[in-house]
Amino acid sequence: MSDEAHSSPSRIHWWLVIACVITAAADFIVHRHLEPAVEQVEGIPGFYPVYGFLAIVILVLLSRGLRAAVSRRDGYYDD
Amino acid sequence: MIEGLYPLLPFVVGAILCSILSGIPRKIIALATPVVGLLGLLGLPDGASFTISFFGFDLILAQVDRLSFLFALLFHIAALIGVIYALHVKNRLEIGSALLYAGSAIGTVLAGDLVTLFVGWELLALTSAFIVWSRNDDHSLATGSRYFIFQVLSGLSLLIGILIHHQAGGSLTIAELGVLDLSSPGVPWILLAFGIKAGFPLLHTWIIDTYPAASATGTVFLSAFTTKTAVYALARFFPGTEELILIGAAMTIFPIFYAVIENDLRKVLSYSMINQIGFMVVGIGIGTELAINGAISHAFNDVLFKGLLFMSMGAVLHVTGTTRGTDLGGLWKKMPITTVLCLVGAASISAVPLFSGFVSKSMVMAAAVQEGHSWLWFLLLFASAGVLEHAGIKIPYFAFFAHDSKLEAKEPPVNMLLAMTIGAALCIFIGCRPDLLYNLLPYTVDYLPYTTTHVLTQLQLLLFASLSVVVLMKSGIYPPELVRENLDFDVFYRKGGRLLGWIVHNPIARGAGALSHTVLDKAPAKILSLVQKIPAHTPVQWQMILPGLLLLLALLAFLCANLFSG
Repeated sequence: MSDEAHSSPSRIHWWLVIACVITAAADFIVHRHLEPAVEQVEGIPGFYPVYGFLAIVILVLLSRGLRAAVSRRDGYYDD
Repeated sequence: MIEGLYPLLPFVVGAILCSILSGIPRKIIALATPVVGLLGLLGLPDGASFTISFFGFDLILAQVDRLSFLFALLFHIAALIGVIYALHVKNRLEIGSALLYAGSAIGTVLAGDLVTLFVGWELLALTSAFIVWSRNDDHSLATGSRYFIFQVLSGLSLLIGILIHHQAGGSLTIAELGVLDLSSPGVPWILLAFGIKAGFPLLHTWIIDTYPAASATGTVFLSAFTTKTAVYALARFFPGTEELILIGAAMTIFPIFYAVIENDLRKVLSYSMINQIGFMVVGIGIGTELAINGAISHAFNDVLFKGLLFMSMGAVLHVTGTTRGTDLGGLWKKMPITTVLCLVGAASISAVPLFSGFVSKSMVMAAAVQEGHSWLWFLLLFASAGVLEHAGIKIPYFAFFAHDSKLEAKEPPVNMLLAMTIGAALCIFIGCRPDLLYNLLPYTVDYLPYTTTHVLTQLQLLLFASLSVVVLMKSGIYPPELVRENLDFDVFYRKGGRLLGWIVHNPIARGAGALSHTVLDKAPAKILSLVQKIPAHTPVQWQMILPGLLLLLALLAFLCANLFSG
């Protein structure tokens, strides 16, 4: 990762946070149409925000495990 | 429209002319080919046409219904975009093969009987292999050969399947066939053939092996036709086949992990392609009208936005010579137009509202949940977040933003920009006016993508997934780009052959050498010397007992070996 990626949050990151807050808050105002098969889970306020956030966390953590298992030096197939 | 013109014909003629001509005339012919083909397609009547008799078979070269027309239309659009994108290319083999390849795909989806389908299937294999080989370096020659083996195996499997099916009295006419039943003779072979070309799990390795190895322009053609022809075939013959739900679900999940750790951005897109086909295969497996419509419309959109993403990475490759995430970054200042067009592709594949993926992928997901597959719905939602991570954020971020790589770069040639602009315009157009695509689908569409709930929940999912990526990157948990080779299932055949060679050469050859040396050379001499060493005055019986004992030991060893191995 580059140095810049670790630098202080830029303006676009704050816009992202604001957009997240607004859409999450909308859950408490908008009456969502629920699918009967999954309504008990889907109906929980904040389900999609939490699921989206956690999905990426799980994805990234498992990918780190995958890298440990399958990563080889570049040119592995060349010799 | 032109009546009485078989759409494959312009592609054959165009390919021959493009292999002879050069300069402006070749460009004109290349551009005219898909346009004339499209006019021919629009002139085709519904139902069977161009029936010819061939060695006792009645071949139906064109069978137009809503499904085949949609795919043929899509392939003409993809061919036109591809030709514009590759207009600057001077490689005659590549452009000629590409036109024949596009024509083969069109011929395959229009095929009205299984024999014609098989011929198209084989032509697809051969012509596309030449696109890979036309790059003409050691790497692409080897990769192209591996690719060709896979495609030939697919063709062989299809041939075996059709022969067994026909032997058992099955019809060869597609209109009479309807849905194939997996338990009837020959049909599993046919499914295997389609599965190889569609990139089913474990059969998928040729996609990630080949697509990053072809030229910048070659990959744009490759990514459009082969896998989508397979999706067409699955939708035609196997709708509602439940096994496909599980296969498709696996296809949506496993590539997203590889996409996180893969450094070559065109390889990331190749994994992404398997993931997207997974959504289509799931839809076909569910098999309801909504699911099939979702799968087909997603195939249509995928050709456009995946093509756009491959084109933008091709543009990066064209001007910088690399698509490695470790080498790239900060290109947006030098390539602002390419950056914006890439972002349109990224938004489309991530299913952002107003972009094309939003109006098609959700149909598959809605069908899954309506049919009560709740576990599947959760899995597809997870995969959707994964798509955003690798195709929506990783691709544009590592190429155009992140740290400034200080690479020499400028905008690609104007024809490349034009092709990308057409692709991007279609992605936004379909995203904003989905009814136009919906009207072409096999079944009447009773689905509204733009509801408050759908827009809100999708935005929540995407925004919070993005936030998660940002947090993980800032905290250093996100795995950094590394110049590494990530092993996939192909290690078994790419290294397996060598491993077999090593085993034969080292343990077996050496072991056998040592064994024969011990048994044949040393042992008799040793025994002989032992026997000779026995003093002459020992009772004569010993000289007879010793060999007898040795023989007994050998017998015992032989018995033990047999007992335990048995």
